Amino acid sequence: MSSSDLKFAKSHEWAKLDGDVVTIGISKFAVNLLTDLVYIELPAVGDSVSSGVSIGEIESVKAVSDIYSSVTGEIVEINDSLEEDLGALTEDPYGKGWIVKIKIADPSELDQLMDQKAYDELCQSEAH
Amino acid sequence: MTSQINQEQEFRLLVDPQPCSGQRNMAIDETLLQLASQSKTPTLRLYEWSEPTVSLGYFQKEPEPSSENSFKNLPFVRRLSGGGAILHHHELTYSFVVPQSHILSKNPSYLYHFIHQEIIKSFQEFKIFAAMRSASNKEKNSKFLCFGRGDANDIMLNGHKIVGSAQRRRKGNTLQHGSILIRRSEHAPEFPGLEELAQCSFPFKEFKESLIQNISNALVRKPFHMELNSTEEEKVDQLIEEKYRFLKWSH
Repeated sequence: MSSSDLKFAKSHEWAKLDGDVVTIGISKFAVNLLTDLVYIELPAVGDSVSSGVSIGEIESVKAVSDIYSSVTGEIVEINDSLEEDLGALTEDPYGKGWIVKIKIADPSELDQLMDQKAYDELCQSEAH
Repeated sequence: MTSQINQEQEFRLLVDPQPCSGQRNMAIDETLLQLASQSKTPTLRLYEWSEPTVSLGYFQKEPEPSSENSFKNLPFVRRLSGGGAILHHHELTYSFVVPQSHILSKNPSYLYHFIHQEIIKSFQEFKIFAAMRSASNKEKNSKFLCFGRGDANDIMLNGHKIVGSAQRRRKGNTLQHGSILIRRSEHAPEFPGLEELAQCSFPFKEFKESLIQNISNALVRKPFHMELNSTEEEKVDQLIEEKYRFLKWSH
């Protein structure tokens, strides 16, 4: 998957719309910042989620961070292979490292997110 | 005299007047993290524990009730931060909360280094020559107790870990708290503290003053003493009641 198809949240999650389902993961920039991922906790299929609300938690270098949903809807699939092996998040954050799929009612929510160019600028400003 | 913190030039300082229970200590740290989004300034808190207490890392499983260990009869509390269990006994604990708007929140991993180097500077003022563990000495993190684990940012003295820290990151705000092991505990005698390793009597009061000063210099901000207000106290009580009095959380 090319990251140019993706939208990004300020909290460093990516989102990709396919029909009425949005796939969410964590950006490469965020994965690199986290380093040494050790544990992830995912939501359950069927959970209702809202934009900006925590849907999971990830631990790295003794730090626990929240993962936020960028859309409102229902969790229809989770990538539970990550619970066994977080390597996919590091190696392929925009592909095999996807985290959840959410069925949404209002695709226009994605308009609030950044495109690749705007997100790259945010990352640049955060890196300095 | 002003009673409002200057958001550009000061940081909030809370030095607990007396040691608190584990539940209250952890509830205060979470309250400070929750408040961070409304603030532009970091908060430094220094505190102690009223009784020997074991804190578990956020995701850590509690030990089996049947397991034989020297702290099974001690109170346990769960932390909001990651990492391994800590026996808090003869220690000085700090927490440092950085709001999203502060530059230190841009790279939270650096925050370990930032605080630990000021702790090392303060140790040096009392002729305690500690250093951070190098990355090459990193150990596998399989042990239950944090002080038996290894991380590049740990502070070491004579080959023993004497300071370890952990974080919680929420909405761009970061809580980091850490333990400075002052003296060996009879509940975990395998971990000597500063007093045994440096063969000194730890100057508690003077060390705290030095650490506040060094962090103040590093932040280029002056400390502003501010105890918890009544709204914050209510939040602390609510967190104890709803969360910290339980060891199992539905995450």
